[in-house]
Amino acid sequence: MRPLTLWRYEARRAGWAALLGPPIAVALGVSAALANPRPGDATTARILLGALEMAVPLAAGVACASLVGRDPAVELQLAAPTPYRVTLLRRMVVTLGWAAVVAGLTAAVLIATGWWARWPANHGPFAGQLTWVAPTAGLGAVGFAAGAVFRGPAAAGALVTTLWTIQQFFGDLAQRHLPGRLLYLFATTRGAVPGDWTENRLALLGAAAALVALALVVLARSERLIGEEDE
Amino acid sequence: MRIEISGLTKTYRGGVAALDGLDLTVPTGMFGLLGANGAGKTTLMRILAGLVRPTSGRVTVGGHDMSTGAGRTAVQRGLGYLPQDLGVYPDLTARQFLDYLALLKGVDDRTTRRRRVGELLEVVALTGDADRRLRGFSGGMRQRVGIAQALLADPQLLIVDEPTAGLDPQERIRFRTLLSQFAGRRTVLLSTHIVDDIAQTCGEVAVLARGRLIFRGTVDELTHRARGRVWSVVTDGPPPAEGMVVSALPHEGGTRYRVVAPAAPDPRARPVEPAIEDGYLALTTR
Ligand SMILES: Nc1ncnc2c1ncn2[C@@H]1O[C@H](COP(=O)(O)OP(=O)(O)OP(=O)(O)O)[C@@H](O)[C@H]1O
Ligand SMILES: [Mg+2]
Repeated sequence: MRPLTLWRYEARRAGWAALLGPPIAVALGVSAALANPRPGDATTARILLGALEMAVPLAAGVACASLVGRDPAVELQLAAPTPYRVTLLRRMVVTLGWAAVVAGLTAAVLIATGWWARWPANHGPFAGQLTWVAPTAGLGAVGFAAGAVFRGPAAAGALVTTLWTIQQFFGDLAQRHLPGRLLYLFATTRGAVPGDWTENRLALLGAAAALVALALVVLARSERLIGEEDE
Repeated sequence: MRIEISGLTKTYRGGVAALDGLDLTVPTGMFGLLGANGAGKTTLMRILAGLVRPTSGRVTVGGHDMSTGAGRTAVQRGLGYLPQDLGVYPDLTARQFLDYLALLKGVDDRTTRRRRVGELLEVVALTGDADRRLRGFSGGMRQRVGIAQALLADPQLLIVDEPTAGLDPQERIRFRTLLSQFAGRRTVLLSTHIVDDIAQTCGEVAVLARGRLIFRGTVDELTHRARGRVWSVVTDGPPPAEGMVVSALPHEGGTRYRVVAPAAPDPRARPVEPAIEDGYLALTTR
């Protein structure tokens, strides 16, 4: 276990987007719930859970997408005995960890105030946490892997946002076949074919693990990170 | 730490052969690397630091094979590296930056880290600015932070790529003296365009041109390459057409030119003692 100080430095490197994104996402969700023109218990609860299932993952995904490719001291990093990909992984863990703290606290408040239970498809206070865990891990891993492949935050962030938007607007299409259903990000608040929910959440987590593994393989080729490649 | 390089080739995408079948042995002590822009110095140093993989050829550093991950990590444990384009984290203070890099170099003990960082800030004369953010540092101050980080983990191999670029004369001289004191039984590989820095510090020197080794020997031997090829000529006319004009100083009755050329560039030219820079020029301008 490396010293806590190292983790503190990596948290700083993760940047402002990683720090402010999740709280802003929750704040936007709560504002949307307050501004709901047709207040009703179920719709308001759905918006609140939606903040956790949609807004927090998007914020985490974009933050993870910005981890690779904007490190001014990358040459020093690559020359140090601590592998740079491990350092990047640490930054991702910090980013997702913070999103989890924010989402977990929000969920606790929703449970305590009874709003959690007012959305019929809430899957309980424990397993129900997969509502935000699965899409946050999924989009975070997509962002991280895309950053590693494209070597830059702009393209990676665009990919995360596009994926999220497509699933928002073409959710029905995505639900028509099994792979689409399994990788659908918003199964709690936008509905899943009954019985699919657990499989969907686990599939998202599995996909996240696979993407992170892919990113680590890609990042092993250090020269890509200083803009060099042989023929 | 001894560096052995044989048949080293690095071809970048687009077909640029930055290194082309290079054979070179670097012993312990200070070793200088000279070469024109684009000669391949940075590429060689990046390969030795484990940042870039060779296209072909064999490189061992202190017996570790740089083509394996384990070999690269073993070398990096005892490596200090100052890249040509040093980037820093602008939001950190000099002290925090060094502390962070010490952690990356595996110095986990807090007291050791603190002491080492304090010492090095002293060495590069930045103690007074240690708690200012790097954002506000001048280019030369930043370079000194870079020098300090390279020395952090008491490296056995120090690779410094144009370390004195941007330093004022005092700091430059202080730094090159520091390097030669540091060298001792360690290996220091220094690349620079300031030929004099090499003359003042390095026993041996290699000259690269277009990815190949065109010279390897002592500083004196390099200087000797210009023997009988350095000329002084005073004229009020145009500069000599032959050879490379090294200096042009106002002189009574015209300008005094110092010229490196294979033969007397002018009937009035008389031969003069070469300096190391003349040797370098004689070698690289044919
Ligand atoms: N990432 C890259 N992609 C393609 N070509 C490259 C790359 N990096 C370097 N080169 C080429 O390789 C050759 C050697 O470059 P290198 O940076 O090693 O030279 P150098 O001796 O350090 O030069 P300088 O004195 O200007 O620092 C040059 O022709 C350069 O254009
Ligand atoms: Mg260079």
